[in-house]
Amino acid sequence: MDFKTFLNQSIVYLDGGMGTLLQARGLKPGEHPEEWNLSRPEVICDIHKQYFDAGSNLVCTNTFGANTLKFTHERLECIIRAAVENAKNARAASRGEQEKFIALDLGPTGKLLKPLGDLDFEDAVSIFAATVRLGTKYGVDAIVIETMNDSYETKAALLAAKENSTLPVLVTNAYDADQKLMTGATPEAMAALLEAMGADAIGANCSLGPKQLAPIARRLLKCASVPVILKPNSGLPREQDGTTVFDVSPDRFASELKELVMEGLRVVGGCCGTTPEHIRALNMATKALSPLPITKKDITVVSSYSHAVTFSSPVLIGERINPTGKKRFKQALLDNDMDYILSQALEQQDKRVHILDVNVGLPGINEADMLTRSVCQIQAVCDLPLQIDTSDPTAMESALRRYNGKCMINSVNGKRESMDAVFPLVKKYGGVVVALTLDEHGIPDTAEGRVNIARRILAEAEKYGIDKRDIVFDTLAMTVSADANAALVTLEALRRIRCELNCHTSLGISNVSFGLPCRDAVNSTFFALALANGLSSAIMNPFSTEMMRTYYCFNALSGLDANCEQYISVSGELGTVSQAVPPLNNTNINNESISDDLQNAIIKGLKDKASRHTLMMLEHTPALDIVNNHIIPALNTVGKGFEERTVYLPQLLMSAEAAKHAFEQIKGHLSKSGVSSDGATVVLATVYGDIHDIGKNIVKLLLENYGFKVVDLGKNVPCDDIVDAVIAHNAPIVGLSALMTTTVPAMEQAIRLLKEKAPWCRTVVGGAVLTEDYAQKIGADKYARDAMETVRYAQKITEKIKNG
Amino acid sequence: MSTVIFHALPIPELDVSEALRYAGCKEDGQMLALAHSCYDMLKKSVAPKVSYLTSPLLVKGCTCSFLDQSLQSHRLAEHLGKSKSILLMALTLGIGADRLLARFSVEPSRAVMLQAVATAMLEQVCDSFMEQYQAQHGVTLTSRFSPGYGDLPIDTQTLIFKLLDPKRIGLCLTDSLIMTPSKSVTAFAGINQGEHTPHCTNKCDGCTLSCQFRR
Repeated sequence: MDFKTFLNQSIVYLDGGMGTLLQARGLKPGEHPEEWNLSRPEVICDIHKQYFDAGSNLVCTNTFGANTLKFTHERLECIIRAAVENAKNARAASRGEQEKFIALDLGPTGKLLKPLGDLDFEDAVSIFAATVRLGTKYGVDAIVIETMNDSYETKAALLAAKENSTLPVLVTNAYDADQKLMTGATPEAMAALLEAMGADAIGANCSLGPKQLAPIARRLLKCASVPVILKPNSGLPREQDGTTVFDVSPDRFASELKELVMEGLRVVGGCCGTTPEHIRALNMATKALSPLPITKKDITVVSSYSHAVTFSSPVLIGERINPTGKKRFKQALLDNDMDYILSQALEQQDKRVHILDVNVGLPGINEADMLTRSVCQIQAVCDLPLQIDTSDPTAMESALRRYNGKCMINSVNGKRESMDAVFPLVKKYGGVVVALTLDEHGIPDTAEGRVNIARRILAEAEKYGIDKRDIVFDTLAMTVSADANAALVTLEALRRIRCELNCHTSLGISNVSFGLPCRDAVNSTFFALALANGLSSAIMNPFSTEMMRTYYCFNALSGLDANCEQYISVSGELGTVSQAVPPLNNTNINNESISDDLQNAIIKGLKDKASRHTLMMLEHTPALDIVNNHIIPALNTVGKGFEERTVYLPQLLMSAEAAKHAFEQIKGHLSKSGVSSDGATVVLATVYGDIHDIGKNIVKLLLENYGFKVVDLGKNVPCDDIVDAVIAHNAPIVGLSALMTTTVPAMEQAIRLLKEKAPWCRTVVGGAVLTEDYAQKIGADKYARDAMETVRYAQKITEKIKNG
Repeated sequence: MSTVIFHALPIPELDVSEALRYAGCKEDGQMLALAHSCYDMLKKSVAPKVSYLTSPLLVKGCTCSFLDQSLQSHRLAEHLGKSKSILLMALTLGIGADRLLARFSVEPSRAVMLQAVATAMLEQVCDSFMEQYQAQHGVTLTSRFSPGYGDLPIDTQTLIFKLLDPKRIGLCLTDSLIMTPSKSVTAFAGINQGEHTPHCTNKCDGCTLSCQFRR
C-alpha cells in the first residue's frame, strides 16, 4: 500500500522525539544531530527501530536541520543518503507488523525570511528543494515539514516539496501558547494556506504538551478538509538540575491524545521529550478505535500571514489601490512612490475593510515587478489578506508565489485563454479566484447567459481539481445610465449563481453609477440590492460613508450582527454623509488666520488639521506660496528648535509628518493641473547586510519636507543597485545608513564603487556605529549626526550646483 | 550534562523614564502620552522568551573555557574571573515588535518611540529573568556581557547561536550577524555561589566608552 492510500484509510502513528533521545546518548550542545547519521549510525538506527517496534507507521529521518545552509552539498548528500539508509535498516530489522513508511524530515532553516530577516523567499525555496530532491532520490515514502513557526517559511518548504517531488506532504507548525505561530498566523490561516497549496495532512507539533495543543487540534478539525496531525511534546519543558525535563507520562500522553482521536484526529505522534514508550502507549490506547472519516468543509476562505477571512458574512474588499481614473496614484506608480501605496493600504485598513485589492497595472511600468513588490511591501506593514488584481499571468504568478497566505485572485473569465492561463496558477499556489461571467462572445445581455458561462467555468475548474468553494463569481455590474436593465440582469445572475450553483459572488460596485450625479447614492442602493440577492463580497470604496452605512445596516437587518453591536459601535462614523475631506466649521476665517493655523498645525504635529487647512488654502492661494510662506517657515521653526534641543526627535517627526500631509494635498492639486515638483534627487539606502531602516526613514521624511525628490531603495541594498539608481536618476547626493560594525564594510564598498562609476555624486553617511573619523576613513563626503544635518548638507550641495 | 532550556517570560510594566531616556526626551505631556500609547501597542504584540544553558567554566589568563569551547577575551575573562560556572542566554521580545516598527515605518515619530519603549522593555525582561534565576537557584549572577563588548568580537554570536539553537524561541542571526527579531539580547553572565543581595548599581560602570545614553 502506498502511504497516501494508508493515510486516507487509517489512523497513522508517527514516531516520537529524536533530539531529546540523542542528547540522552551524549549529543552535545552545538553538535549537529544530522552528523550522527554518519558517525553513530547504530544509535540512529536503534532509535528508529524502537519507534517501529512501538508501532509507528511513519518514522522521520534524522534530517531536521539537514540543509545547504549548514552543510556543503556533498556533505548534505552523504547525510541524507545515510539518514534514509538508517531508517530503512531500522524498518527491515523491526518486528512490528504494522504498515511501515519512511518520511524525509524537514525542519526550519534557522533563518528569518525577508522583510523582517535576511533570507530571501526564493533562496528559502532553493534550500528546501535541495533536501527534498535528495530525500526523493534515496527513496523516502513521504515528506514531513515540521516545527515551522513562520507561515512564510512553511510556504517556501511546501512549495519546494511540491515542485521537486510527487510524494505526499505532511505539514505541522509550532504554535505558541496564544495559539498562534511566532510570526502571527492562527490555525485557520495556516489551514487555508496549506490546503490551498495541496498539503496532504496538516497539524501542530512541538512547543506544548497534548493538553495545551488540544485546542489547536480542535480548531484545525473544524476547518480542515484533510487529515489533521498532532505531535505534542511530553508536556512543557522545565528545568531541573540544569537539564530539561518533560512531565507527561506515556499513559497520560496516550489518554489525552485518545480523546482527540475520538474527535477526528487522524495522524498522531510525539515531539520533544516523547519516547518509544509514549508511542507504544498511544498505540495501545487508540488501536481499537476506527478512524473518523475526513469531511469536506464547505468554506470559502482567504488568509494573510496572521488571520483567515471566511466568506460567512459579506466581505468588503477595498478598491483604492488602483490607478484607474486616479492621477495621483498613477504619479505614485511612475515615481515608484511606495509610501503612497502603503498609506492607501493602511487608510483602508483603518476603515475596517477585510481584504485589499491590489492593482498596479499602468502602461510603461513592469507590472510583474511592481505588483510583486507592492504585495511584499504591503504585507510588511498590513495584515489584511490581499486580492491580486491583474490580467497579466506573468505578474499574477510572480505575486502569487511571493504572497504570504492564501490570497484572492482577480480574475479569470470564461475565455479559453484566460482559464488556460489562470487555473494552473490557482491550483499550484492556491487562492480564491474571482471568475467574471464573460467569454469570447463578450458579456451576455441575459442572466441566463451569464449563469451558463459560470457553469462552464466551474466544469473547467473541476478538471484542475479546483473546488467550487475557491471560485467566486462576478456577474459584472454594468453602467445603468447606458442600459436601464443593466443592474437587473446583474442582480438576477447573482441570485441564480448563489441559489442554483451554490457559489459565492463578488461585484465591483462603483461601475454601476458611471456618468450619473450623486454616485454614492446609486452605488449604495445597488450594493443593498446586491446584498439582498446574495452578494458575498464587494470591491468598494471604504471612504464612502453611504456604502459603509449600507454594509452595517444590512448586517444588522440580516441577523449577522448580534444585538446590533457592530452597528452601534460604528454609528458615530456613519452619522454624517461622506466628503473627501470633512469641511471646517469656521468658513469665515480669512486667509491670514488660516495660514497661521497651518503653521500651527505643523508645529504642533497635527496631521488632519494640516491637511484640511492646506486644502482650503489651495482654493485661493498658489501652491508654491503655501509651501514657501507657510509650510517651510513652520518646518524651519521646528528644525531650529531641534537643533537647539528644545524640540525632541519624536516632536520634530510629528511636525514633519503633518507637513507631509500638507504636501500630499499640494501634490494632489498639482497632479490634477499636470505640474510636478522639481527638487534635486537624493538616493537613500540602508547598506547591504543591514536591515535597520528607522534612521533612513527619518532622513527621507525630512528631505521630502524640504522639497527633495527621494529615491528610497529600502534596506539591505546591494552596492550595484545603489550605483545603478544614482546613475539612472543622475542624483547629485546619496545617503547611506548602517547600524552595525559588521555592515560598514558594505558601506565602504558602495562609496568606492560610487566614486568610480558616479564621481559627481556626494555621499552622506549616518547610523549608530558611524563617527566623523570613521566616515572619513571609509571615504564618505559627509558624516551627518542626524536627519536635520543631512537636510542642511543636501541644501548646501544643491545650492552649490545651482550657483555653478 | 547541559541542555538548553527555553520558555516564555512575562511582559514587564512600562518603565517610562527609561523609555523617554532612550527616545532622547524629557518628561513632557505629549511625549508621555506617546510612550504610553506605544507601550499599549507593544504589550499586545510582544511575546518575550528566553533560551539558556549553564556550564562549568574555567578561566585561565584571557581564555574562558566551557562546553568544549574556548573564547579569548581579556574583558570577558576579567568579567567572569571569579565564577566557577557560566549562564549563557538569549532573550527576545519576538517578532511582534518588529512588525509594529515596520507598520509605522511611514510614521517615524511613532517608530522612534516604539523603538525606545521596546528597548527599555527588553532590558527589563533581561533583568527580571536574571533576578528570577538568582532567586530560584540561590546564586548571584554577574552583570550581562555580550558579543561586541570590550574585546569580545561580535562574531561570538555564531558560537552562541550554535550552542543555544535559539531558533526555538524564534531568534535568528543574519549573515551580517544581526539578530532577528531585532529586539533581542545574547549574553554571558558568571554564576557565583551564595544568596543574591539586591543592590543598585549603575549599569554603565563597567563600560569605558562615551555615549549619549551613558548614565
